[in-house]
Amino acid sequence: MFSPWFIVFVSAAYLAVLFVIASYGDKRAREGRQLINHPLIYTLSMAVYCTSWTFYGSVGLASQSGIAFLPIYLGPTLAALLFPFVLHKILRIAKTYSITSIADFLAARYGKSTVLGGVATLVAMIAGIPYIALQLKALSASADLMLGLDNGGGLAPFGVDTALIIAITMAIFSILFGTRHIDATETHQGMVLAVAFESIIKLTAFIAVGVFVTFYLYDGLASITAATRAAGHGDLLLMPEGWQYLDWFLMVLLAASVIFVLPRQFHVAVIENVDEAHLKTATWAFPTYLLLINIFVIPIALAGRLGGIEDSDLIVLFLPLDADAPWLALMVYIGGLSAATAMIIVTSVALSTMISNDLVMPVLLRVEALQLTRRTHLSRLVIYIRRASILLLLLLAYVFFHAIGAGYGLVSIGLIAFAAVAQLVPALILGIFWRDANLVGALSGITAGISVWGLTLIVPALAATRVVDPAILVHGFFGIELLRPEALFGLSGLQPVSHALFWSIAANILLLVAGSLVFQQDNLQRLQALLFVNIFEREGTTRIWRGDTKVAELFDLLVRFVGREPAERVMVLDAITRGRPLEMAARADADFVQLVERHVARAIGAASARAMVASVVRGEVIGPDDILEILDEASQVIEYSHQLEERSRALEEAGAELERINERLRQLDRMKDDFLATVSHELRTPLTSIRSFSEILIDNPDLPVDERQEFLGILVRESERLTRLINNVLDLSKIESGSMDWVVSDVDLDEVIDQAIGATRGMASELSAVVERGAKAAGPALVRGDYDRLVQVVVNLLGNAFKFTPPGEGRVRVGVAADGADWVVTVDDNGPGVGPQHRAQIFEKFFQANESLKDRPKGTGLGLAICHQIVDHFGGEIWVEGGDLGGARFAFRLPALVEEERQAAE
Amino acid sequence: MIEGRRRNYLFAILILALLLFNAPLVIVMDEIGGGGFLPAYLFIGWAVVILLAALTMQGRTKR
Repeated sequence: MFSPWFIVFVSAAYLAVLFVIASYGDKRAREGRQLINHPLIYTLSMAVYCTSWTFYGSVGLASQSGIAFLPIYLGPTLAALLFPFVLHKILRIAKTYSITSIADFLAARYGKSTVLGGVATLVAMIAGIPYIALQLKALSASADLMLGLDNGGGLAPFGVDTALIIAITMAIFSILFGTRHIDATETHQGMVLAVAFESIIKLTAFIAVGVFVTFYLYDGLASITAATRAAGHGDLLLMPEGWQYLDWFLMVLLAASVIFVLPRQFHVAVIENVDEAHLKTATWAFPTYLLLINIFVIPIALAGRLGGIEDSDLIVLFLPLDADAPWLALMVYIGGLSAATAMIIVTSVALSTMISNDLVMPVLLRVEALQLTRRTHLSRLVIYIRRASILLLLLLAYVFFHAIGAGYGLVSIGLIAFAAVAQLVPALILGIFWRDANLVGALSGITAGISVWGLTLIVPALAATRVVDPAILVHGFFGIELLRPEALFGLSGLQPVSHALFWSIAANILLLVAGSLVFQQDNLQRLQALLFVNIFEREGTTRIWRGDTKVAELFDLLVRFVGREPAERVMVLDAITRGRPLEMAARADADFVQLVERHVARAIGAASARAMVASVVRGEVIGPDDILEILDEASQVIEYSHQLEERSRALEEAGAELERINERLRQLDRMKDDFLATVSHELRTPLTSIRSFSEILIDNPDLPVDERQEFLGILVRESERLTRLINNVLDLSKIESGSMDWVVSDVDLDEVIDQAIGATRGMASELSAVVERGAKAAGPALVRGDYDRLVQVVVNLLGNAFKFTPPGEGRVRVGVAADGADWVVTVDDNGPGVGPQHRAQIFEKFFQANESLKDRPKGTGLGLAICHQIVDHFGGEIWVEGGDLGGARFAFRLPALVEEERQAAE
Repeated sequence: MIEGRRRNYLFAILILALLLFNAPLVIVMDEIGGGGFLPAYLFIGWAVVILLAALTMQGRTKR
């Protein structure tokens, strides 16, 4: 064995090495070379998660309960898979708004609330003190063992308790590490480097002892498990006794969630992060570290159990000592020392920042008597507060260790701390994803959660040490059985920590959500919520400033909180971004005010910084109300422009519609003009002949009678033609304008045909054309229609046919036949027929397919158009095709009147 | 931070890990072959999850 002095020397030497590494890191950082700017260093610094709990406690727990230690590492593995979603957002927010701690983050999110910052700090302290006590316990126990003192902490050679010496040493060490500089705002790059170094040491030491146990003391994993089974400890390889699968799940959940809120994790993962991209590597590398450091836990634990080591938390150290491997034992001791010191340093730095920024400074700044707002050199005060807090934390942890902790295993203490700090998780996670989460909800949730935690975990602990009447465990609070601390509302059978976690988190979330739904956010809260939740959308916030504060005043404020030199650095950086230095006498603009507030926030937290800047700034301060108003205005403008866009789209559509209608009107107008021109032309022809023959008759009163008769005959014919034309035009315009008076009745098409043939007999005999009666319907061929008009249609068609038949040999055949549900009337002739190219146009007004005729036809050019209109009106169809008699066949169809319809009509 | 495809993969791995590390799979593994297999199962599952995450995060972006 080594002499005690050697152990003390080695311990001191190790701490000295750490210090050198940290100083080196700080020095390089000041020179502008960030040694920690590497994803693996970032990951290793995250491994500050693995403390004495992992190094000594896991094995201790595993030797009693098998894999019960594992959820604590599987949880963070799950959480790591969420890093790119959750931690990335937290990181971006924290960087954008110069957040200094988890408490500061929560305070800033919920309207820069000093109260919430204070409450969160208290919760973190409540969790942190037992956690540090756990490290002290492991450190003092391992040191006692190495120093050869009685296990359980006797008196050290100095005549004082080892744990107290360690606590004080750690306090001094942490103060030197974390609060060396007067400047309170600098990040601790050296510390991060040292922590990463320690992560390597503890992993190496643990793997070394694992390999030693597994492959030197035993012949590999198989032989250990075989020996374990042989010794009757096979149950260590199963789900731990007394554990339900719900316990397992809740433990995984607990460990997964606290990774985001543990003060030391938040500090290394968020505050000290130098590049967001490092998260990508950490997502898989951090779980890898956890896996590596846990691989040998079970073999070591089994070996310890088989070796009959009583103090299970020290198995890692006992195994090499018992196997007479003192150097390996020394290595393990150093590994344990590194695990504990890393945790203590980072936790105490993080917690002391929270205590100074979110607990002490807000109070001090409010105490008028101190006149702190007028004092210079506040940065020095901040540093002293932090140093005092570190000392206080370590001493409180020491007291806790002696009062309660000595009776608990390392893991049990750690889990109690986990369950406490987990109360910050709902407010954090909902806070960054749910805009409506508000201060009332967060405060009541955290308060209720930590209260339930105290009632379900701390009360039983106090009952065990008889501080509280143990009867309460049996009879419940106020003698109500349902309120038994370890089986709240009758929920029993769970492990104490999962039981407490379930109820405390349930109460926490319930109140957070309910409070957020019931109560309103004030404007500052709304603004902060908006900025946090939409951090990725809102890269630059609206910055408007109408104040008339001088740059010099804000600069003085900066100097008081961060010191002159860093303040001047800020000015230089500002000048670089601006491209010109700010005049001290000039008015500060919004950018500069925000810059100052951000830097002051890094020293004393967001809530206090806001108050301090507000105390300096005069004139018209743009408060959150105004910013919200401006945002509202902006959104209104956007709304208006949306409306305008919609309206202009509607107008465009209406315009296009109008354009279409206009085009149609123009077309109709053109048609009307054409029509008028054609009608005028058609009128002029008979008028011209009437006039010229009338003139002849007037000028030659002594014309022979024959000639006179002939001319008068022409006058009569032309007048008739004129009348016909005018009648047709009137008919057509009546039909087209819809002012035609239709006399609708049931019409038998056979009758119509007979009537038409009768009416055209004169014309037929004049042209010596023969009219044949074609197909006839068996019964009456009934349709709904206007009898006279339908007769007019057939007359027109017949007249048309006569005109085109060869003189003297004309043959026309008229028939009616059923076609489906229609009656079809056909008029065939033996004329020249209608070429297919004209068949579509032939029913248009004034269309005359006259190129095939030698003479102008005698018609008005409106007959077929009128037929078309009439048939159309009664829902029918008219067309022309090749006929049986070698000429054209004009046909029209009308819907047949069904018997029932007829009766219904009657 | 990571583009759509990787986000989806990572989510899928998260779901896989949740399934692997919890009941009912843990119950099955706890009782398989007369017991004693659970620790090995957990560690192997753990390694697989990490491997998948590493491939997802470090792999080259597919075009």
